[in-house]
Amino acid sequence: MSAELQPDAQLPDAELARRARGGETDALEVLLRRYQDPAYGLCLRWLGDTRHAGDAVKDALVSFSEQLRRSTTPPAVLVYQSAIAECEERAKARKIEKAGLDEGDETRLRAALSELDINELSVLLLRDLVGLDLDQIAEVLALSRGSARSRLQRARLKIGRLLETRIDV
Amino acid sequence: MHPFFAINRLSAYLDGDLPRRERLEVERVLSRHPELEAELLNVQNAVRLVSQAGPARAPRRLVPEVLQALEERQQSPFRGPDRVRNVLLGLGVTVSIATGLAVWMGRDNVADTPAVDAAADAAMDDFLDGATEPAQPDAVAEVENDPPEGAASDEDSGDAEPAGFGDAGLLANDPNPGSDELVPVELPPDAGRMSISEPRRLPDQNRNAAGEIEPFIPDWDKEPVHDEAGSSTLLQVAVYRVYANNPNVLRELHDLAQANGTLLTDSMGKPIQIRSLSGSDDFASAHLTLPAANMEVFLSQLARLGMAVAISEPDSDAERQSLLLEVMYKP
Repeated sequence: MSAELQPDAQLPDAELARRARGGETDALEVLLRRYQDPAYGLCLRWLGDTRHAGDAVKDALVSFSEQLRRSTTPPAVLVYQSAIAECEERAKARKIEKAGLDEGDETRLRAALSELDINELSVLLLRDLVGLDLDQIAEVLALSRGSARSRLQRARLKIGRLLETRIDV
Repeated sequence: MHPFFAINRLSAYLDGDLPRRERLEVERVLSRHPELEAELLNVQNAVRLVSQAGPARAPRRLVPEVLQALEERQQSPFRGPDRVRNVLLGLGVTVSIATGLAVWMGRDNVADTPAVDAAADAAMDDFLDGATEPAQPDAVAEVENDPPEGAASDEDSGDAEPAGFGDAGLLANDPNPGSDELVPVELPPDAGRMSISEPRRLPDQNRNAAGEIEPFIPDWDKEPVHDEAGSSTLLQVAVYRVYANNPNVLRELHDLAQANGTLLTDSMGKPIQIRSLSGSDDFASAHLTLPAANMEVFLSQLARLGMAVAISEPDSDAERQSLLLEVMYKP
């Protein structure tokens, strides 16, 4: 990050978004740096490899930046919506291979995640990987809080059962 | 508490998201049902594993690459803030393609755009085949072709509009927050047609033997409502992937909600006065809550408006029964 951006790094999302809409590239850059890691983590867990995740997160952030200019939706919501949309599209385009079951936790987790449907996967990753709360998830996925909670419940039960015999407690 | 309800609260229990009384109930059931305790352990392990998977470090060059891509896009003649230019460009391309097709097909009258329109309508009718009631497609098509307010239409002037299809108003930025009034804004005449980007086929499970769409009716016996307080059961209907650039959709839903004695809200339960939409949005979500007994009537009302319920997802909640519907609408 360039030196002159340091003060802006403390600004809240809403202020940065306002400035970015006004054409301040520096403000946009701060937002991009703020969300690049969680967005990349989401893509990585979703798509399963660094190359596809890198492409997906780049396109997601480009899309996020363009939407930010004409939308009043909070940046955190927009960025995860963009990342999910990119991952969803890419996962459809190339069938994600089911990982083998005879390796470490990482591979087992990938295998279990690949068994979840899109709705389950998105809510699970937003909650347990990115760390959003239910209200934030509901906003990102355009759901009621109750629906987000139910989906999370289903996703966790399912992945728990998928991992049941594969994880040493 | 029945184990069925306890298992549906394990996730909230783990997150400490349950009221004290429910938490104690879950703990009581857990102590009596070892299989449920094992389930809890599975969920705990899964959450731990997913949590430990992050965070990941994005590639170092990611942000500069994103900024460069944005800059390149802005310099492209096909991108930019000038929407009028883009619309004109799009129309030019459409006319070119139509002309090219006509020439290629050996037709004498290359300017026969009504035929091209008819072909497009036929394709859209094909897409919506079964999604609307037999008597409705024509009426919906008339709405689609309505000229902007004040402009005359020779062909349509003699036909009555269906109730509620009057104003061609897109629900845009609310200039008067707090008002119940929906404020129409002017749209280009082809706004509705431009809105659909990627029409999705309706899922087969909602089709009957004749291939017609049938609205999903929840099976209440299989989806029990947890209603400890004994209050009347409510349905929260989340209408999502509404093709919202259509000038009529949200107005129709708003009117329908009011006719059912409720309000259209956003995902946080705040009443929607005016929906803010950007040019790139092709859907928005809207919610309304209905008495469960009205659900069937509501679905038939949607069908009469040319909206087809495509996907449903029964969803249990402590306070209400939720149902997600995907409503498709002819743009």
